Amino acid sequence: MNTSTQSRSKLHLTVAGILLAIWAAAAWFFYAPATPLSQAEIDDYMVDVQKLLEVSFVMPEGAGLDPRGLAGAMSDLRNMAERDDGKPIYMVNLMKWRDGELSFPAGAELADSIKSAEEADLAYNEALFWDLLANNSHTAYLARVEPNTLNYGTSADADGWGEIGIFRYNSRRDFFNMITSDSYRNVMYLKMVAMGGIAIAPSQPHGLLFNPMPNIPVLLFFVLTIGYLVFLVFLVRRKI
Amino acid sequence: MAVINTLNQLHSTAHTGVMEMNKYKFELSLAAVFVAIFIGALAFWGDWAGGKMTRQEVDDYLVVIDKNLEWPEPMKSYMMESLREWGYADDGKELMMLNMMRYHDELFEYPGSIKGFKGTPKESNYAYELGTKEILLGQGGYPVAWGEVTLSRNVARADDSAANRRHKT
Repeated sequence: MNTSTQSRSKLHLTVAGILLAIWAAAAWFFYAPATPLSQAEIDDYMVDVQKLLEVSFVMPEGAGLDPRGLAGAMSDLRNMAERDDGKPIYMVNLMKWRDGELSFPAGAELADSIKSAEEADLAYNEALFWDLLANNSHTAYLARVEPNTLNYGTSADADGWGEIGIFRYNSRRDFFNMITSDSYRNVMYLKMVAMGGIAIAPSQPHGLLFNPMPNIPVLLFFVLTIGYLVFLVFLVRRKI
Repeated sequence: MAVINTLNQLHSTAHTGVMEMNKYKFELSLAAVFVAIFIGALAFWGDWAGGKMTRQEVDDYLVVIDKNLEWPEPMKSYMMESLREWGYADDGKELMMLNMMRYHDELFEYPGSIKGFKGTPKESNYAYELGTKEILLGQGGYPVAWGEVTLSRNVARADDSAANRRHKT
């Protein structure tokens, strides 16, 4: 092998090494294996969760859709933490915009600049974009919704949804780190101002090989590309 | 003279190009096959031959649905009305269906339901999903995500009255 070929091979290997390192770092950051939450961790988180609920979105006892108030919400979140298996969770958010005049808490920083529920929700999402990433999480799907659902039930109050968001947390620890952070507590009011209704269902993937499934032509593109690279490696090895 | 030299150079370059192409004939053929598969996949899953449904198409579909759907009222009318409105508003673009499901405590029996099914509501739903997968895949549809809800209650709820009351206090 001459010097020119050697230096070209070295360059190729260096580039491949850098790309592989970037891929591995990103994969590890978002997909590293996690351990279940310990009881002590859960107890610590619940102290901060209570602070969050008291200043933000829990409804007064006996009102709204959840008559259990703070105790009910605390109990739901503790149950979710105690059932932790260390695996990732996907938070499925089905959201309904608030109608009518927005009602900001006293002293809210953005009260004068936000005019609609959609603007408030956008400000909330923008404020938490980096926090979400910093907690090993990312948006898996975000979309506007057709106004009427095709529900099998009979009640029209299941209609009127505005947006769907699915967010992946690598572990429940990441989820609790997110919702107990100061930055989250500071912008939570924007979500409450924006939402006329919200259903958040934590879920875990099952039953599919790729879950969530990427866009199939894109997936096929990568499969073909990788297949071709494997083929090239095979050819090179045969020549050696 | 300069023109002749340039033409000679072009000819030489083209000749070299043809030699190179012959050298990589197999790789180029493989690349062409891959591109064809990729475009085929884009066309199939992107429904390039589709386009917007006409109102007549929607009405025709609804006639069939009306005939096949043996549901009790007012469930059926609600579904038919929703489908018609949604079909008329078609923009021809792809769509995602988000299904958030809650099982009945016991099998729900109604006129028209299959008699003699032995199993839980969850098993019944699973049988439905298995039975419909060929139809879905044949239409260029596929499941994007599938999961089990890990908390039977929503983590958060809000409604207008409660949240407004909270903020005004």
